[in-house]
Amino acid sequence: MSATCQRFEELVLDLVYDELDAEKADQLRAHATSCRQCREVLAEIELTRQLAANLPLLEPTENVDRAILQAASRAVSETAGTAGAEPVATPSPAVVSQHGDPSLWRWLRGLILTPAVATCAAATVVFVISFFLYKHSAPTPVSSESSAPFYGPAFPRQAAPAPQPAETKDKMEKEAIETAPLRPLVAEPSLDRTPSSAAGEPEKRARVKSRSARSSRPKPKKIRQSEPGVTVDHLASRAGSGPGALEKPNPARPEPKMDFAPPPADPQPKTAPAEKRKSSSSRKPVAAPAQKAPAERESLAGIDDLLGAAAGAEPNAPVASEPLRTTDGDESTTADRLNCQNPHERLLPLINTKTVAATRRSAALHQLARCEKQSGRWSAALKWYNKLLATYPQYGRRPAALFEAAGCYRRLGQLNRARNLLNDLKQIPGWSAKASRALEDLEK
Amino acid sequence: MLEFQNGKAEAFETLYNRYRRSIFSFLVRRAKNRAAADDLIQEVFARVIRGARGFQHGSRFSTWVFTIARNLVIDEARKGAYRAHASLDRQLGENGPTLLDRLPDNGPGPDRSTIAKQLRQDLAHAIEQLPDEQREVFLLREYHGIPFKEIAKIVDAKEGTVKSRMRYALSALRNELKQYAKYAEELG
Repeated sequence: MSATCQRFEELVLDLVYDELDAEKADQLRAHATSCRQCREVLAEIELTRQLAANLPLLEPTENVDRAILQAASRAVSETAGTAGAEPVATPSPAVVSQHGDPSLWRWLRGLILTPAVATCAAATVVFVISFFLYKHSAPTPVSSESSAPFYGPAFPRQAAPAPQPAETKDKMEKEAIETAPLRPLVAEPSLDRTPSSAAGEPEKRARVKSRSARSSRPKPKKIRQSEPGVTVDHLASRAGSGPGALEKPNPARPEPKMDFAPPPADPQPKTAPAEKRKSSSSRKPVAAPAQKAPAERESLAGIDDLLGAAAGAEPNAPVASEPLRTTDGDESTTADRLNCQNPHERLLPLINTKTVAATRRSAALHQLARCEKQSGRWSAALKWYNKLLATYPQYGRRPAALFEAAGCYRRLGQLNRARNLLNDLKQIPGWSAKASRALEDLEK
Repeated sequence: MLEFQNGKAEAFETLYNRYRRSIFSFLVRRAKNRAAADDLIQEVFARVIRGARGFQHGSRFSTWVFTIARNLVIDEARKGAYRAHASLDRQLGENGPTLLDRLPDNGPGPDRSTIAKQLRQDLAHAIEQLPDEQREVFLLREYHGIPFKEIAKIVDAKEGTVKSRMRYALSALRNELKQYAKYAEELG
């Protein structure tokens, strides 16, 4: 193969996809006319492309279009509503200083780094160091400053309060700015496979970030197509309880995306009733999972509106109203937090409306199941749990639902089924201890 | 994108209408699952909305949005969230009559539309059979017009590697679709 043919081989794709400049393209085409081998290569690729052109583009459904456009409108309107608190563009230093924005430090730092200021700062440092050395090396006169010789230091040795040197002032200002509340940050678009994570950042920063994300980011409705899933009955009634039966987080990705996962813990449950406080205080500590990325948390807001029961729960932790909690035996917390007023009238229309987002429908199903359970209708509750897990196999609160279903089986005396579910739950990180305790309780 | 960043909801609609078919087709072909694509396209644009403010205009929007789409497909595949379906378009069995069998010997027959339909099915099937890394490169270049350089960024590989995958993909498709060569030549 000649060098030209080799060159042709290298560039033939650029040629057929018009990624070459005209001159090079002409050269290659001229070569192809004279070289049979290269001509065949070119012809084959062009023929394949000609055939490939027959594949039509596909269209998403109207429901999907609508959901996406509505999410965008919501995002824009929410942004407009919070524009004062969180400007889209990075404000100029002047604007920043007017508004007392913490990013004033950025501007200040820019100012400090100008040559003139830097020279002054250096001189100040030299001055302070000289003073320090002088103070510690020169024999200290016994007399007070009034008796200092005229050729002594040009500043009072013990002047109180001493004017602070410029550097110290800068340092204090810097500290004050750094300890001030951080301005909510805007997430950068990530080209990484995983969304930008708050893990590893200071806790305060993550909190501010997540607050900002929850308030300003859109809550896109998702229309998830149903896929047949593994039901509670199936899991509970099978002979074995192998670890593969339940969806487990990928060890390579310890924090998988959970579309319907519970929200982050609310740091200040201010108006918690006494019973709830009691329940919370008696809860055994659950290993705190890694901080979820704000973008992930934000998408959970919809479900919480409906469930309204996990405001104080850690992500991946059992919901606060878990009736199988055996440490204090308090099952009444569910009643305090679930809205079970006419659950069927309220929730069934939501569940059965196809155009409602899957997040809301699955949350409604879960709530209905919990209401049935709370009312002691264990079989009815299991029916809804089954439907929930079969229709929404990716449901983020799946472990919680399974745990609650195990409680229903226990109440119905179907201990084997309850045991199977709990054994599976033991395999799920964050649920092991709780499932073990429940199992122990079951065996008693 | 700039207008959407400045708070114009209509700008997003324009943007969405421009990319909806491309992204959806890519998702369907890449994930090999239409239902999954319905979910994923919503997530893709949800991420676009969330990340819009930080989008840097130095980079191409198409590169960004296809990167999001590709990464989501990979994430979903890792989670095993979606089972791969059988071919989306293919209707005939593997052992059915080949198109060549049905092509009339003397010139173009009356059933050209039938052939075109069959070609679409076989083409979709052939694309599905490509290895993931070849398929995504082929889809991005052939159907979505992303230059090789940008594809290299999207799939996080060298440009040479991308071209190599493209060559393999084209070669595999040519072998799968060789029975249509005559048809293609007739079409000119």
